[in-house]
Amino acid sequence: MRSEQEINDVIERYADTVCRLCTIYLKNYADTEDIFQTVFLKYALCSVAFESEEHRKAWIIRVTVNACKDLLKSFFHSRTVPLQQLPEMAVSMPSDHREVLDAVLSLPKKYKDVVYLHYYEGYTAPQISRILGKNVNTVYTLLTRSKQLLKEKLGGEEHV
Amino acid sequence: MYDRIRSAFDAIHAEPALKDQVKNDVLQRIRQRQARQRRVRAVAVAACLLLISIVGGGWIYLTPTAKISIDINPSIELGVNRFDRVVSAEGLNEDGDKVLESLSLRFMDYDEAVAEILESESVSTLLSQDEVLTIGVTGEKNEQCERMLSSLSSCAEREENAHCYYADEEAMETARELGLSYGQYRAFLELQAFNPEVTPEDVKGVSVREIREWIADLSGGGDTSENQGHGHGHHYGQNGKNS
Repeated sequence: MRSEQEINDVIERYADTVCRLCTIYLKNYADTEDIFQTVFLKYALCSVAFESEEHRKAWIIRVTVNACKDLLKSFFHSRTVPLQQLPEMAVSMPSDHREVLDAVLSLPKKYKDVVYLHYYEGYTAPQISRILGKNVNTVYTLLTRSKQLLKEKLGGEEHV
Repeated sequence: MYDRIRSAFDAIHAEPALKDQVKNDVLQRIRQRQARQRRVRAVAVAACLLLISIVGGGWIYLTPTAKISIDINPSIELGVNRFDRVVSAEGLNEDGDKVLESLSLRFMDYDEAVAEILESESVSTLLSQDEVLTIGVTGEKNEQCERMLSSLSSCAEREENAHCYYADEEAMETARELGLSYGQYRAFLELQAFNPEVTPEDVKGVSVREIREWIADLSGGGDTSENQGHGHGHHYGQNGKNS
């Protein structure tokens, strides 16, 4: 079991990351709260010795992704709202950000986490394949396809 | 594209209220868990202590701190715990086993147990036949042994041919190694003083009374023969005078 100080530090450091992943997967605030509880409690109780901060971050991302998927699986029919609806927190965003987020979130489910991990977190395809437990070639294909989709949505004039 | 996506996601932050709530909830759960673990640990420690005290108590109760060795022909050894209770009864020969078969001495007070043995059919028969009974108390020389010795001595005084003594453990062990009961061993040592050629083998299976008679023959016997010699001499002299 980890110390209170360690738990507080990790929540401060990774709350935004978890929140962004929740934005990708989930559509309502109550679920985000659930995921926060699940992820950070799991962190508090786990006895994994992290070799580096990168290792810790990858662990948090993997646990968050799995927690979100589990939540969607168990409450899929009753709890999800249409994909096009942006989370409440995005309402107050500048229009450009909203447009981009809208584009990313409207992508089919399988592209969204790959796009986030690659474009925002800067992970390479092999790293993403390890985090998500997917085949590297599948990740490459997903990235290529998602680039095309985003280009279509956000305007083909941008260099992707 | 990278920059746009990055700044769009950058704009998403976890609300401080959410962070605080998660911190509180997680820490509360952790504390509850720790408290539960502490409780479980406390219960486990208490259970261990209880187990230790039961085992330890049992061990203390069941460990003999003194031994009573009773010899007539049946040889019996009683283990007595620190609470003066008999915790083991062992026959050192077949006759001893036979006597014990008919008695249930475990957890009885040692004096009652000794009384039961003395009253048992085979022992009381032997006593009535003038067999010599020895009661040996073995153990560290402490208050318990002294108390037992004095109690058993008064018990032995009631019988004509009963002797009660303190037996040291080393001698007891030697006796056992030689295959003799302590009573036999003591008698054997006395006998050996008169006749150094006697071996333990010679006294095996011989009752204490017989060894004592043997000693009496040798010591008293020596005296007797001398007396007899004198007597005879005297007698002859007298006879000579008379004749």
